[in-house]
Amino acid sequence: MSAKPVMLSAKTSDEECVAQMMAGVPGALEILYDRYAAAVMGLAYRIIQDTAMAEDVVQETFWRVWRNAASFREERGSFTGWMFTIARNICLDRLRRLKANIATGINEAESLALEEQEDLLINTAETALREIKHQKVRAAMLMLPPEQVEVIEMAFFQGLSRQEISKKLETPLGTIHTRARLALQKLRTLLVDQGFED
Amino acid sequence: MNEIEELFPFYALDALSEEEKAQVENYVQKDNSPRARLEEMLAASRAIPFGVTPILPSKEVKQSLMARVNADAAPTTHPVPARPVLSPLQEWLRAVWQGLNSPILTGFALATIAFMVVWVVNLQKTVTSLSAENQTLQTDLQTLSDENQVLQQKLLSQNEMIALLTGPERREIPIAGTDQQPDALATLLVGGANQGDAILIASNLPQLPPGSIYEFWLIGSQGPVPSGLFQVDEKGQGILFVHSQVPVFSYDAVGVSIEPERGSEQPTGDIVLLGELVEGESDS
Repeated sequence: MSAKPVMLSAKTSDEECVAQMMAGVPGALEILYDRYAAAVMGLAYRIIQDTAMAEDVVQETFWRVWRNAASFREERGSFTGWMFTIARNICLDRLRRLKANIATGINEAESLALEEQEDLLINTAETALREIKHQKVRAAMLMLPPEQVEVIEMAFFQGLSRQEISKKLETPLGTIHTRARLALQKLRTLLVDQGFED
Repeated sequence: MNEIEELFPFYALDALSEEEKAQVENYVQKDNSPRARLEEMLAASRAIPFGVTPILPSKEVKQSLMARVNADAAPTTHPVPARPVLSPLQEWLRAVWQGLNSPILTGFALATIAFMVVWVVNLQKTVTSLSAENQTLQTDLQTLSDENQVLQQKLLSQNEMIALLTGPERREIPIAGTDQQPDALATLLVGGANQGDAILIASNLPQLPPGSIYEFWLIGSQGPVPSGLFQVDEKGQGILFVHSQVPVFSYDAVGVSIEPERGSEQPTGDIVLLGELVEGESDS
């Protein structure tokens, strides 16, 4: 990855932005934030279900992207995969802490002021391409049987282990394995058919 | 399928213990075939976050983040380095200079220094002026580049729309407002009888409060199928790209209802638009 000075613009690739961040250029992070903050916020809100905490996760995610840019390895996957993994880990960590606090009687959630949720992205021409990408995945998810989606959601958005999912759904572990496998295989096939690019 | 491969989906979903992860990683190191199967699942898993409806965080989040980042990126003040040890040549030059310490030479030196100071100040002003000019030009270039990017994206999405709107098989389906929203109206542009691509253009719909969203339904003999979420702008207009796995005209009707922000599997709120899907002649 090159860290030569470049003129940053909205067209600068994710990987070039990471290289520029490693060289200490804050403008590179700003471009990535403008590009993905709404997606990260959507993911955080989906997991945490609280606007203020989700916004906190967005800030922490991009702060870690900035501070840990040097640990990103292009050969191990895309920037978005790396970024979403950071965001999801922060979310699940906070969710676990929140649950632990509630269990011990500290209602942290009540101490946070619930702010008005920002309007959802309007489906304008400027965001049409990202919207199409979003809709391709959403449409593919809708094509999956509900019992398979349920397993994916419990594992991915709630951070439950396969044993916990099996117990919660009162379903044999083998069935949970099969549902997860079929769901991911079908999701992949549908996305490839739709020309989805990672 | 062996026990380790049973873990693949949960590895991809990052829902395994560290020990289980290590088992999977050791297993795929030995053979390319299972590694390829695991990579397929990882690719599917990486797409999942894109399926979540994006939400704009408040402006304060970005302001606070960038203030933190800019402070982190600012160069730290370094202490003034100690005077370096002089080389023998430097020591000799220093002795010669000290030996030439006469009033005439001092005056000449002072005049030279004064001239140099004036020259350096002027040079500095020129550099500052050119630097500011360069900064302005870079900002202009950045702005133009951003505008160009936006225009290119517009062009790309508009090309898709134009292809759909001008295609020989294009159909227009008018959709009327229901009693819940009698002024609302929409048009569904369908690319062709055998196509699943369509564009919904809705207008005269009220903006919804936070927590709600409009959901589009393709309605067939098996009931309504959720087919996309959209919001409307301050003018009450919204656009939705619809991608159906089966031809749109295999359904009987279309509708739009108000749902919780993540959408629903079946309509739960007020239905505001409803229209019959009749496959008529194309408009071309």
